[in-house]
Amino acid sequence: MSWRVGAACLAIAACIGLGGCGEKTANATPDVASAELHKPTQVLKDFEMTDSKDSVRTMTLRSIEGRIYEAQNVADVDQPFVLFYTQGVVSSRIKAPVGRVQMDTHEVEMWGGVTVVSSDSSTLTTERLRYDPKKRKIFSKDAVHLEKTDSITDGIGLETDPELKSVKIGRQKVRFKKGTPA
Amino acid sequence: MRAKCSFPTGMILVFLLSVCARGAAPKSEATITSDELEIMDNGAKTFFRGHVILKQDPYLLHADQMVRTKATSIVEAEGNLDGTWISEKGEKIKAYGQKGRYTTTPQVTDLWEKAQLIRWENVSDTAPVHIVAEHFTAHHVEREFYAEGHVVITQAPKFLSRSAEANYDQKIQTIHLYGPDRVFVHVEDVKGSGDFTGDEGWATLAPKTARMTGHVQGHIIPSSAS
Repeated sequence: MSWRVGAACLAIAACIGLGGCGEKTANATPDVASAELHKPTQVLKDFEMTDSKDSVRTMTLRSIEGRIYEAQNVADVDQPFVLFYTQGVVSSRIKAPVGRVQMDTHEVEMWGGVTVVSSDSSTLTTERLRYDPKKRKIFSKDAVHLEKTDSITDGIGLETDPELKSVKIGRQKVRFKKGTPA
Repeated sequence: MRAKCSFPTGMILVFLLSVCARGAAPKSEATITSDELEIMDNGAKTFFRGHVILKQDPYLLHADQMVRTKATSIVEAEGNLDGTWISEKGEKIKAYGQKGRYTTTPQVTDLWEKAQLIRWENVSDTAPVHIVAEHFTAHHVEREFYAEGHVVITQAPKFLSRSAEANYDQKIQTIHLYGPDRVFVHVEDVKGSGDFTGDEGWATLAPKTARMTGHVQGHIIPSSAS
């Protein structure tokens, strides 16, 4: 699995320690040091990452802005939009207001009201979820709401593939839409 | 009688064997709650595990697990099946068992392992009919119900029957007791009691009649003699 970070970024808007590394002295207060730590190493506009397996694209993450924190090995992304591919065709998509990418494990966490829509229009919403590319699974510990053509499911906790074809939901309640054939 | 029962209705029918044939249509949205839901292969199989509760007024069903196979439309339930149906007039049917299965083609429901049905005619009925058998089968289109294996029907204290098999044909409202073993019937009322054995027995519900055939033997005890 390979990741290309920032392939489409248009600008590197900020660098490490805009205040200047030279300003870091032994006399720096803990607050200043902490503030330095929380500054992004890089800010990338139109951030894009592509995940591929055996040279075939499996996932693309796009964001209007990505902020990379090298010390923590993470990138915070605004309004992430994730496309999943099966045999080169888009099979599912995720939208969220905020997200974070683990640069070492390649996990993506999204929160703030996340929506997953599969190719058959099944729609899952939750406050927060995590995508594990190694397992190719989406996990959530929060309340989830799943709408399918024949049913609406609410529950707590989730494990699913991105296409919402194999789904586990805990403490759930399914409401069957009327007229649903067996 | 509906031509095709939906998934949730079908599940309920697993446990309320006689309801569909009575034409009791569900009145509300069906819901299933459980500790865990697992959808496999885009719904090819759906598992409900742990404290499963299926509700669709006037039906209610509890089970430990339910599995639905999409390709065959077969729904199977397992573990502490407990179904309830209550009509607007107060008639109530409870069904219990450890295993149940509902198929759409043909439209058949099976209930077995510690299976039993209890029917109260209304809320004030203190003498419900209790049926125990090894296996219950309902043929919904034909509106026929079969009980197989050590069938015991009781309505304490006035009625008891034992037979290897029993059949209820809802179209003609007739119960047929039969099987390889002799049929035993005990009846009791203010006039006395009677024990009968025969090869077969029939009872019609409307009008209420009873008949036994095949080497019938009876022992009647008038109430004045007791």
